[in-house]
Amino acid sequence: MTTGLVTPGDVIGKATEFKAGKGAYVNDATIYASLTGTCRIVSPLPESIDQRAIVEVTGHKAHGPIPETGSVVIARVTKVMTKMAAVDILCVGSKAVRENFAGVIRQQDVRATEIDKVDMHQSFHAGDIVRAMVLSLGDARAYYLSTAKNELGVVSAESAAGETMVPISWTEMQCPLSGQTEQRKVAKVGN
Amino acid sequence: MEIDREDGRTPNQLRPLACSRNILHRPHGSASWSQGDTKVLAAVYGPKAGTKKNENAEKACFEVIWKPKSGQIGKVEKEYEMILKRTIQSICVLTVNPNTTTSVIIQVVHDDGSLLPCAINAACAALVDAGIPMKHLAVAICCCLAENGYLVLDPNKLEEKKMTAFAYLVFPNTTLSVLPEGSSVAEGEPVEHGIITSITHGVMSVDDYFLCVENGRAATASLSAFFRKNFQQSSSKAG
Repeated sequence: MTTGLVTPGDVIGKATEFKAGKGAYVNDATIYASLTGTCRIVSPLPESIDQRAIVEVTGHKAHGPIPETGSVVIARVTKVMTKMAAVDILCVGSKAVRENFAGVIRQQDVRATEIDKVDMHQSFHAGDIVRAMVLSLGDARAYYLSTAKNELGVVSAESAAGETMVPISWTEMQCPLSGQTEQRKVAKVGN
Repeated sequence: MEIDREDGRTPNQLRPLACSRNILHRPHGSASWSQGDTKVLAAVYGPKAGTKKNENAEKACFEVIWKPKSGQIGKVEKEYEMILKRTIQSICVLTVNPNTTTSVIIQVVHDDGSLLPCAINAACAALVDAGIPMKHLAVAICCCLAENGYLVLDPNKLEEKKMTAFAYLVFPNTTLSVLPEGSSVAEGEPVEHGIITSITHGVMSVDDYFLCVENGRAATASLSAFFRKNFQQSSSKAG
C-alpha cells in the first residue's frame, strides 16, 4: 500500500502498530517521515520475531551508502605498516560508495587466533582488494575494520609479475604465470 | 493598522516565491530559492567520511560555507554560517550517518532584504534534494518593526533600512498526518507549534516580539504549502 507525497515531519504511523523503515524515524511512539517521497507499508518477513508491518518512505533521491558498524565492505589496501594496514573503502555491501571512506585494519583484528603473532606484511600488500567487516566508527579519520573471520580477508591480489593470483590455502596465494607463492590472509570464497 | 508599502504589498504579504531543485550536477543536492529579488543558491555535498576536530564523531556533522555575492567573507557572514549550522543541526536526524560531515554551501546571488531567511529556506530545499534525513522542514521568515510601531513581514532592502528592529524566525513546517487506514490517531502537540531559531536585531518590547512570532507563524502556512507544492511538482516530473 502506498500513499501520496510525504515530507519530513509528516506523521506516517504509530510505533505500536508499525516499525519505522527507511526514511522514517520514531519519536514519542509516533513514526514520522524523514525524507521526501511516497509512503508505503511493507509486510514483515515470515521468520521475523516482530510481526509489525514496516512503514517506509521511498522514491526519494538517495545519497551513497555509508559504512555502519557490522556492515561488510570491500576495500583496497593503500599502505601496510607493522601494526596496521590502511585501506580505502570501495563498496558497502553490494553498493559502491560515492565518497572516499578511509579504513584501518589493526594487527589484532586480522585473524581470530594467535593475534599477537600476526605479521601485517605477510597478510596484506598495497593494492590488495579485501573483504572486511566494520568494527566501529574508529576516530574521525578512519573506520576500524576486521578480517577475523574465514570469509573475510584478501579476495584479489596481484603478483609481482602483474597477474591476478589464485588462493591455494588460508595463508597463501599463487601467481599462475610464475608459480611463485605469496603470503596473504586469504578470504574463503563462497560457493 | 493597514499600511501601504512601496511595492504595494499588505503588511503580512510575502514577496513572490520561487524554488528550483536539482539545478547543479556536481553537488549531491542543490536548490535555488528566491523571495522577490532576493535570490540564494544552496548546494549540499555529502555525507562525507569523518568529522571536524571539535565535533561529536558519534553523530552526523554539518558545516556551512557562506559565499557572498562579491568580496570577502566578514563578521556578519560568519554569524550567518553559525546560525544556519545550528538551524540545520536541529532539523536533521543526526544519528543516521554518524562520523560523517555534510557540507552546505550558500551562494548569495542577489540581496534585496530578508537574506538569512531566504538562505535557510534554500538550504532546507537543498537538504531535501540531497536525501539527508530530517526531522521536519524549516520555514524561515523575517518580521520587521517600524518606528511608528507597525509590523511588516518579508521586508526588502529599502524597508529593512527604515526599520527600528527586526526578527529572523524559523518554524517547523506545517505537517500532514498520513496515517494508514484503521490506524489510531497520534496525540500530542503538533510539531509546528514550536520554534527552531529566533534572532532579533534592534530594540523591541516583549509584546512586539510575540506579535512578530504570531504573524510569522501565520505566514509559515503559505511557505509550507509552497514547499509541499514544489516537491510534488518535482516528484511528478521525476516520475
